[in-house]
Amino acid sequence: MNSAASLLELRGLSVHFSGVRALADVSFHAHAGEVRAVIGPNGAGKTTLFNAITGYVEPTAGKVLLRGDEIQGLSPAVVSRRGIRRTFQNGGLFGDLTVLENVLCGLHSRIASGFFGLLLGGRSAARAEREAVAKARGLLDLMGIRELENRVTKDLSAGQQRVVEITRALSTDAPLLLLDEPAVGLTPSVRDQLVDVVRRLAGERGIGVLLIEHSIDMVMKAADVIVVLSGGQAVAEGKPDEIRRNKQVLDAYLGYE
Amino acid sequence: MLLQLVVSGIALGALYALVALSMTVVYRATTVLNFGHGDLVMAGAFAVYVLVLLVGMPYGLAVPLALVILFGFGVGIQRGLIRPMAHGPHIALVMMTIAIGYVIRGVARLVWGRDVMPMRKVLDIEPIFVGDVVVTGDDLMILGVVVLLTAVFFYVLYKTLAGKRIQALYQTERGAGLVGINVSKFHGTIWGVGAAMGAIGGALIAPITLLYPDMGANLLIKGFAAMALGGFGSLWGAVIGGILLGVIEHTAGAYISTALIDISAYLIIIGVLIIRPTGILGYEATVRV
Amino acid sequence: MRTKAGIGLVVVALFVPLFTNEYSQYVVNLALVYVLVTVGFNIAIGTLGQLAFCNVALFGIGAYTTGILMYHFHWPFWVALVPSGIAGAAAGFLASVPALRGIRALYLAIMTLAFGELMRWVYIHAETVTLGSGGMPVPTPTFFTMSIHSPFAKFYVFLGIVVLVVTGTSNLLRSRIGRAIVAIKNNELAAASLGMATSRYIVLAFVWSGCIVGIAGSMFAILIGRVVPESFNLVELIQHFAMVMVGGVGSLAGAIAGAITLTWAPEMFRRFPGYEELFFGILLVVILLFLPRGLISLLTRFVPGLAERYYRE
Repeated sequence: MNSAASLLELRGLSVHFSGVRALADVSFHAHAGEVRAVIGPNGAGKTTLFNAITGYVEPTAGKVLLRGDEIQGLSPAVVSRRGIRRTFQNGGLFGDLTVLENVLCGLHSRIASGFFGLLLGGRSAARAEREAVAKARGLLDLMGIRELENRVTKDLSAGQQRVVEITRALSTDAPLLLLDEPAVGLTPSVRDQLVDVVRRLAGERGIGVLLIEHSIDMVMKAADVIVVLSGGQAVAEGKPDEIRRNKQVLDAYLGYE
Repeated sequence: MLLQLVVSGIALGALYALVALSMTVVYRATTVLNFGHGDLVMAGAFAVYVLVLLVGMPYGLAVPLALVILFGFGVGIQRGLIRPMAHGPHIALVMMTIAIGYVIRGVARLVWGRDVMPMRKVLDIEPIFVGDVVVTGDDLMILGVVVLLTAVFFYVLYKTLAGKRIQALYQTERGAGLVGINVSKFHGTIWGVGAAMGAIGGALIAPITLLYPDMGANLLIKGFAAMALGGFGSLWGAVIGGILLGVIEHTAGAYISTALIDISAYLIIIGVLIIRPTGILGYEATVRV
Repeated sequence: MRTKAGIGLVVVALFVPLFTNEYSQYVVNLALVYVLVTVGFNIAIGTLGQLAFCNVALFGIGAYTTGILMYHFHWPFWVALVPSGIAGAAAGFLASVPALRGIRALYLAIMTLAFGELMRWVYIHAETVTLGSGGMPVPTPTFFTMSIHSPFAKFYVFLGIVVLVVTGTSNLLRSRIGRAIVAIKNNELAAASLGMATSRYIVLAFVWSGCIVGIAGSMFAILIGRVVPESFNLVELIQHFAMVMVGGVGSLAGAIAGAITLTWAPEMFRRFPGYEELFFGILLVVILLFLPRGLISLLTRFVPGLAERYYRE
């Protein structure tokens, strides 16, 4: 594949934790408008992969390129501002804040208002905030959760929380979205809705999605491409059908299920 | 000279160790760090004082009775004041332990005001000379009691069923609940044990430092310093940290500056937490807040 | 609505000196000092949720800065107020360093507690600067040629400062900065994933908190007229902490309510000599047991307009 067209490129990405090899020499290209699932048994290094891409863990070796620019070693906040947004396995919402406020947090770095303007309660700061609220409401409409906007997020159901977290991650039109096990704890019907959301994001808005997911059912429905991790290495990559037939994958992963 | 300082430092440190150990016991089992523990120690000392000097009991009777009283007191505090707040924010629990300490001090103040009272020595004997080193009756008493108590404590913890349960609780509260340990009831007992152990510390320290309602704050800080030094949440760390703190206070006070006696505890807390937050034993505590 | 209520409250406050004598006016002034102490402390332990127990150190540093500048260098109060706020902010910054390095929760609590006690030792022993344990007299502040000696005059000065600081703080806490600080309290990793410079906001919260408490210390110095090391001991810290908890941790209006309540209550307890500490302790225990979210949870039930933007019970 042509690296110039790729949104995210990993080149020999490795992460060692005090001698333990969590990720070894992982390379692939992810593209705009593509849903790329990362699967593998527990401890295969899936979340470590996400953490290395988003700056939570510093890679021991290798490169992470976003549209051709090296971003490995940058802090999570900077990586986020460069255009990679993620969700968290255990849920990353701010429980004390409402749905709207959570989404506004996603827009945080886009709200142009300085310390002194805010301190003095200036008009331009108020205007910037109003614009952000309008944008956040637009996103809530888009995701069909506008009626939840004033609910405090810790009171929401698990499914609603997942959708809010994805909405928040989307708020700055980041081109790349990393979803870490978004379907955990969801009922099959909610999970199917989530598949629709993910497919729509990739199809209609051209967002590149990396998806860690244990539910093979969801992966087969949602993904264009599947990468299989095992013991920190990418052991296979291909379309869902190919992966389903791959002997090595069956040994590494599906056999354990 | 140095040997003398180390010996008397160890005796004083043994007291700190006892205070730190009794705080750690509760902290490990319940994740509540009792900021009012110094006042419980003070209460223990005053209980002994009342029983010995006002009621006229011999030490042999007064100390065990004070222990029982403080044990009940600890259980009562946990039942009535700590347990109702268990599901609230941790910061409210911190405030509650401080408020309880305030009440205890308030009662002592009510009776004794700002008086400073002398306490009769437990073991009133002539100092013993070992070569150039002087060992006082207080030193002997403290060392004897603390060594005995620590031995009993660790024996119970490692060798008995009750101790196994406490250890299970230290590992995982939910797991302990699943295997049939009544966690809530156990927390009460642990608070009782912590208060009783603190009371022994109070009874031992009173003859040395005199007795006054405000003595708790100082002991609390020493307990914190001992815990930080040995590794926050580690039982053995509390013991070793306490003894080290005593030795450091005495030697630094003599060789560097007497001013260091007052502040070595603060410097140790700040220094250890900056340089090595896991303490000298490298203990990694899981703190739940 | 909120602005109008605030203005109304200030207008009412302007007439307070009509109903007070010298002593009760002193108590009101003390309450104003504690309003700032509590508002500042609450930013660190409530809004940001970090157990930074160095508030008395910040308070003392503010008071000593004013004392030193006024006593040794004869600076006017107006000028000394600014460096006192800056000194408090600098000490707040110092306290944020361990928090940034991962020393959190009870570790941070104990470390900052030790820092506060260490500062008290410094006040006592740095005799050439602080005049030691006997304390340092603070000259009467003047405004041009007018001496601000009476508690009534001090009241208007204090009220002006408090209104300015509380308004600014309220603006900040209601803005995207306040929202970011609450977000960081809830989930720091997730906040970073949204592009928030988390360290910067943690430092900001500590510095802002320290600045306010430093200003409060400066006011305390001229209110008492003497800066004494014993004013900044552990008992004082407990008072500050209790004010925040009694008011409702995390709430700005709660902080103000807590400060006023716990300045007033001990004055009531003075009628029962010997019982003051016991009553204070019992009051705390009772409020914690029956009103664990503080007075603000009671107040908002009757005055829903007091609900704050990013404060959730």
